[in-house]
Amino acid sequence: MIVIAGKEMYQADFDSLFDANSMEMKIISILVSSSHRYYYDSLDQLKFELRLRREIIAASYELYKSGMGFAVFRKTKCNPAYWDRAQDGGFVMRNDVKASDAILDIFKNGSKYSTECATAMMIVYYKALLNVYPEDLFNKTFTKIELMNWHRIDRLLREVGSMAKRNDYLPADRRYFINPDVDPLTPHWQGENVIDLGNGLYYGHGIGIQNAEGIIKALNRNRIEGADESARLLDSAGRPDFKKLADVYLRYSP
Amino acid sequence: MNSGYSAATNDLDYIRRFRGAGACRNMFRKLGKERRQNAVSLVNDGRLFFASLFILRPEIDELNLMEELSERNRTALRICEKMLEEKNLSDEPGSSVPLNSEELHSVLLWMFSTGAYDDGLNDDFDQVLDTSASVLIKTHHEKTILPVMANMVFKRNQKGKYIHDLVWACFQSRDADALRIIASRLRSSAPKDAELARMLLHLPQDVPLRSNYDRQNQYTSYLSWLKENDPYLYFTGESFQFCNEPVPCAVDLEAKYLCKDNSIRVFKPLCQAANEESSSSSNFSKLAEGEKEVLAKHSQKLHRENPSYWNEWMRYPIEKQIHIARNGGGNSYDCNCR
Repeated sequence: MIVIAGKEMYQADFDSLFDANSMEMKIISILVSSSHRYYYDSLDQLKFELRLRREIIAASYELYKSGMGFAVFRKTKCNPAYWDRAQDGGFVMRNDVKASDAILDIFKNGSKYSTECATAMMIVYYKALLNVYPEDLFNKTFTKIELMNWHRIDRLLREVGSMAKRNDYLPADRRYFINPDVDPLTPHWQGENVIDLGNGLYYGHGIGIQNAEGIIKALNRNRIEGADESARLLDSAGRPDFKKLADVYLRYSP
Repeated sequence: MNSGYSAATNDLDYIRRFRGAGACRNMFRKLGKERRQNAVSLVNDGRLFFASLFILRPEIDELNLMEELSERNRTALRICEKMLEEKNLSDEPGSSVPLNSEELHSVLLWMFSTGAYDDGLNDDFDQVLDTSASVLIKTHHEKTILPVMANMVFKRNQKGKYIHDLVWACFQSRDADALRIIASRLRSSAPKDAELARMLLHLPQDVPLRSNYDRQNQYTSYLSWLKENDPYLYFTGESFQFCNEPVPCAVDLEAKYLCKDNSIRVFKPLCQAANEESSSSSNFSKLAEGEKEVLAKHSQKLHRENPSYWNEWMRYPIEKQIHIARNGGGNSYDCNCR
């Protein structure tokens, strides 16, 4: 159930706003049919979440096609024109570049970058926000970006690092496939962070775009000898605080 | 940790340590060309530290010494190659090196325990150390290395270096000693150590740790919580790859309620319980989390202090058990561990 400013909303209330086959309508359909009540202060707040979710999915496809390589944290690489490589393998945005340029460079010059799946998720979130926020707002909001895994995250995106069981799982949620019996020679395949693309497929950096079965199969190939536990999708998801991000967006005046 | 070097130090270790890796490699190359057997004896010396063998890999190749190396050194170099190869998900699964052999166990132990003195040598070396620790813990259940692993984690953290694989391997031991060793850093006067210990143990971040008293207090409280819950702990498998505040372990409340040790440290619903237990278990599983906590805590305390009354109490209907627990139960230590 969707509740906007205290008013219960129905699927038909959104018919004139979005195409019937759009990702937005798909998400609305899950929300309105849920037994859980989803509260929004305004229609704009909901529309922001729907748009950002759509852009998270779009950014996942873009990153997949960017040519960015996979590397364990000890062997990550980045374009030194925009990023400094931290000692722990993360990327720290240079002081003399704009955040928007630094993020866009990853998509333009993907082959100059290699990293693990969690960093890729952070890149997806920043690119999605860059697609939604005006460039000026993006650069004012994110003055110093650090990319690693779920640490050193900007306070506005901190919630993406938290995983919790949800009433409903939605397109653009961050999900996690765990591989409990991972081969100790390849600890980086202990699990895979993915974005739910909303069509039965997931994007996970290093694995690519696959359905759940494909990801599980790939992880299972990297299990310890004699393993008896299969990789599996966890019953939890990570999400940005859409309302907090919407608030920044809706208060912006150029 | 001391330097690990003594008067009886191998010459290669000595030169590497005091004149640098370059000097060590030059000396070995020269010796290998002029007095090959002496070079072989030096590198095969039982006292050699793993770091020296590791840096001499190019010279060993160049001098074609592989076949003359000791079994320990040959195995170590083979496993290093395996650990450092860039494996894609699409590559053939499995390892060509049998990880579970006793021979490999002792070689890995030598690599890790002597290599730990030189942690930070370079990224490849550190990766080999981390992977050795993972194999020792996961395949060989070698828990004696936990204190050294923890020491490396905290030292690396001080320098801002990569710790996630080593932390993951520590908790893969599924051993409460890993928690105790990390908890000892809660008392550290170095703020970075205490903060990391708190994060690794998933303790509340808002409790001040300014004075020795604060730090000692948090440490004592944690140990007390651990003592109470140790038999019922299981390890979750959560890691820094999964989320920003992983919960390494949790209490199996049902096991605590039934006072059944969870020796395998994995969360599995209790089965094959006696009929009476089975009925208690079934009623317990229907309770809200808060009630489960109160009941489990009370049950464990009662079992410890008055086993005969515990037996009687367990036969009461669950509502009566809760009533008694609420009136007689204490407050639980405020730990974020689930």
